[in-house]
Amino acid sequence: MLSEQSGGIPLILLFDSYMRYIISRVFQLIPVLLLATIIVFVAGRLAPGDPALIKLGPRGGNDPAALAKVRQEMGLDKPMVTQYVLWLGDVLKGDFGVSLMNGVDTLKIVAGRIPASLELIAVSILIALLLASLLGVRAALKPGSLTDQTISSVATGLVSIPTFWVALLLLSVLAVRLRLLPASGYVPLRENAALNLKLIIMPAVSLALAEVGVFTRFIRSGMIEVLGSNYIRTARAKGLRRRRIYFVHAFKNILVTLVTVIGLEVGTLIGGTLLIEQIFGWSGIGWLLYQSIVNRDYSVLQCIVFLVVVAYVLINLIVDIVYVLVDPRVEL
Amino acid sequence: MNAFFKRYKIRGIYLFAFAVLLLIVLMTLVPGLFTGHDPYELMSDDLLPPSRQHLLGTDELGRDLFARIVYGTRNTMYVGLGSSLLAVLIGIPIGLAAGYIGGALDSVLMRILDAFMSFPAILLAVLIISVTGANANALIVTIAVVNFPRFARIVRGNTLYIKRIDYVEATRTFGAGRTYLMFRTILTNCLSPIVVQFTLLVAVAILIEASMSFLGLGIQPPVPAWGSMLHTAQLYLRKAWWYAFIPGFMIFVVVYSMNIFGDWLRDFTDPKKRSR
Amino acid sequence: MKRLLWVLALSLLCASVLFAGGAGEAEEQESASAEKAESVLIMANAQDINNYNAFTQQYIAFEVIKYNCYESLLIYDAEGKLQPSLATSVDKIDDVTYQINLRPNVKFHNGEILNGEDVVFTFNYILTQEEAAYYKPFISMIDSMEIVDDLTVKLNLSAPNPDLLGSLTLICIVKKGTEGRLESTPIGTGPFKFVEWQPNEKTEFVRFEEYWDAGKPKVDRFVIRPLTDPKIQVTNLEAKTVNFVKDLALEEYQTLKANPDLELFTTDTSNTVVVLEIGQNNHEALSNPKALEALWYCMDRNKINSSCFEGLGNIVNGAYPSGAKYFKAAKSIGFDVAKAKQLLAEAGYPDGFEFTLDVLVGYPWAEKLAQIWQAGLAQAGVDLKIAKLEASIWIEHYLARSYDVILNWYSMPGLDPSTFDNTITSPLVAAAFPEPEAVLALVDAGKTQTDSPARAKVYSQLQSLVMSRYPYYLPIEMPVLFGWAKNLKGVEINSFQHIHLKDAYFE
Repeated sequence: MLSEQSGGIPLILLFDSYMRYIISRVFQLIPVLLLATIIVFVAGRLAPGDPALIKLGPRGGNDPAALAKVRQEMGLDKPMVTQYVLWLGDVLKGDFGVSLMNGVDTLKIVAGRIPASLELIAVSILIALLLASLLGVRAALKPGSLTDQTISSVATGLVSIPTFWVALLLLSVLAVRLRLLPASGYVPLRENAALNLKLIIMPAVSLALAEVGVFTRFIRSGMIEVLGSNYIRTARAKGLRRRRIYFVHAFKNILVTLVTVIGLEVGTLIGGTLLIEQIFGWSGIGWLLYQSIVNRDYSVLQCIVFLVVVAYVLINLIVDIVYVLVDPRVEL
Repeated sequence: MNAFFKRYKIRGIYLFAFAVLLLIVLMTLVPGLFTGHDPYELMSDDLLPPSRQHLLGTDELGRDLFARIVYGTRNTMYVGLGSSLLAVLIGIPIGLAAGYIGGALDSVLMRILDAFMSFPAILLAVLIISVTGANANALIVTIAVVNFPRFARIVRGNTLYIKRIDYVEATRTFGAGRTYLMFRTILTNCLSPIVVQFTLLVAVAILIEASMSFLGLGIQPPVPAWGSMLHTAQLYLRKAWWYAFIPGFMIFVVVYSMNIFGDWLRDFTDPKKRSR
Repeated sequence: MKRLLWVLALSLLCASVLFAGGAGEAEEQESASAEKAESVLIMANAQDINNYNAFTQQYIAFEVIKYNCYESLLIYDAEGKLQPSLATSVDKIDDVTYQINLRPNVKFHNGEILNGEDVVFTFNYILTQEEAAYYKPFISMIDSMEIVDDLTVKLNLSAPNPDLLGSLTLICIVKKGTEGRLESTPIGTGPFKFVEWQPNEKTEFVRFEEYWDAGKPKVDRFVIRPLTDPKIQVTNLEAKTVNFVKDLALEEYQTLKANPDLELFTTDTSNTVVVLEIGQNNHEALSNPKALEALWYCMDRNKINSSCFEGLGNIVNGAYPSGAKYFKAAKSIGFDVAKAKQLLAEAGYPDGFEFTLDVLVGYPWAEKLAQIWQAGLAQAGVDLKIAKLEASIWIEHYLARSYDVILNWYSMPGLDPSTFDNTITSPLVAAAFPEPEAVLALVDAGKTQTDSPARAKVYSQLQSLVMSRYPYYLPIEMPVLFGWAKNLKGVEINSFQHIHLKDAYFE
């Protein structure tokens, strides 16, 4: 496919330019990541509040000697730049230190909470895709029609809904009033699948609703483009069965770019978990992040944001690369 | 009438958005028009349901909820508009400089913008607020910092586009300085996309403010704000479900209208579609 | 393609409905059979405990471990009377001499036997080690100790300590030699033996088979789950994944009361009180007692009681919580804005003034109290700024005494007013009184005299002084709400919120 489109230029040379693109993108990543980690580190240190005091509590904090000792243990007495360099060095070895709250290895705590958030995000994306496909395809069938306009308005509406409001409403109706679902909590999938699924419904739907709007718009415009091409005319001429095949074909075409949109929305979803997880007591990294901010637990805070930023940047990189490889129209 | 609607591309939904925005403007400027109650006064019993005296009932300390919603508009719009203006003020020079001057400056600025954009919005906002403390002005700065990168990128994109088209013309003008060219020529050409982006920015800003207040990191009680009302309403889902419903509904309606308004502006100012 | 999507959607819906219906039953069956096999008391705790050392751990959330894994020499029962625990009796030989008689054959969790050496070791550790400094004031009057025999210890005090017996209920006895390991593995004599701690998940204890009180504890396991969010505590309690919660959110009181499967219990409020501490050094108007009194007249305490504490609190007028020995009721100060304005004018502030109240983040009742007071003050022309502070900043302000007014709360560990003085009154005397030495002398006198009319006189004087200069103010006493499953019986909670679980069992 690649050599066809390049008009006969040898594959090797073309591959080389893609590689160059990939490598240059990876190089661009490094300063971005460094800057981002500096932002995290500085914000954490500039924030008022002394984690040593929190650890000791009001009674222990009365003693300046004890305080000084704890601060030294936590490494808080060295200058900022030194602290950052030391921290970065450790991080690259996989050592994020210990939680300032309970002394447990930070990476271990965070890693333990990641599966819950991953599950939540995955289920949300699934629900969002399902609904968005239904809506988007329907709208794309007759562009400009009343159905289309309604669906577009609904999509815009969904993007405007505050996710935590939906969450509270769902909680209020389904859990408090009707008692159909348990209100909050988390149980790992392996331990009790049924309970886990019951608990994930409300948070996943809340998270999904905002994404449905974005995905719908995208599926709609993608489908319109594809359907407007020769496929649909021939399909109409040839009859129903062919139409279904072309639908599937059409959908496959936008599938890859759909994946890239999902990748771009991951950032919003992660931000959403910060709000949603604490409403439903879903023990993921969003809730852990919120607690670490309130408790001034720098280690956990930095670890989570670091991982999130790295993941997000990597996902964007992959998305860019895939996009370039697959879509022949994009220039390098 | 039909011709008027057609010329300005007004459809049903746009009318609704305009009406809502007009209402919001009125609520912001003359709240007294809507309610006689004081949003800070502990006037009645707690958590009363809607009634003749209290249109939307009372909150957890006996304050009139409708009054708090109305006066809350002002605070929400203050943060929404303020932060977006600041984002625009920061974003335009950066976008222009990056797009027009290009080269090393562009690379450096882009890396910095990328660094900021590699954070999910709420995460960055929470991070900044933990340094500054939570109040309306800090929120304005925070949301501006969160929003300006995307805006700067769009300005940069527009600048690049126009630079390509007008490059030849620009070199012919009478020895005008780079900055003059940058701001005057390019900016005027970018104006409509910028205005459209501004309205969408306000919509996002309102959502972020609401989220932050909901986390308890935004506007603090007793100052009325829709997001923080939802934060408190969480505790009273059983006793007073309307307390959770109404402020969220207001946020939704305003953000939705802003988005629709932005869509309309885009349709209206888009040169490609104007002939239709 | 579309049809496929519809089919997928419908099947997902059906599956979830089936799960919802079916899973519920499976759950109940599971928990029922689990109970037949093993009875587990699951308690929700407000904080995860990472340090199990009875000497150094000060969080209130640790208290349940202090009385059920460790033990003290004496305890208070549910009626507030002293009962023997590790000591069969403590005899007062004279004002400065006490004899502790230990219970024989009490085993620690590691198999060793309790004897007098351990008691002496525990007290010595507290008196000499920095890290145990919290407990020092309670036994600071111990001059020397004698081990008479394995089961008898004599205490010689340097001065009379009227509350020594009460203080003995606060100190856990530790086996000499185990102090180094206690942070990760508590070793006590109590009914529940430590098994493991899974951070942020649970702490597990199992019945100690060789507990000295034969036949107890009655449940097989005791699990503590850290559930920091009050909403989550409630939902877990209702879902029966937790069967005991301390410090329930008061907002849920009405709904929980209506739940037939739950039992609610509020402790006597008379020893837990909200304390407004005044930084009189930092603010001119606040060093004027008349101006201060005006501020109290702006507080609608009835509304605070109903809005913040569901009406379960108790409005006090005095310098101590009403349960303290020698408590003297002071004049009642109601909600009277006109009176406040008059007092302000008399004090020289006819146009009011401005001050800041430091409030700890995360306590809805505190935020509500602050707002109610703020609204009242606004009517009198006083501008109150509410500063919501995260824990470490609040603590910083508190320790440095850099606040105008700070909102705190305090639960007396016993009935004796000297404990209140140690923690609250003494540090504030210097700033509030023109002649602090005289007041501090009174505090000391109260601490060291035995109960007598002379002591009563000292405290009467002290309370009048406090109510004349307001180093602090006690607007209201707070309830602590407990909730447990209705089939859980035998939980003993005394008026100091100490929880004793050895008699607990499931019906």
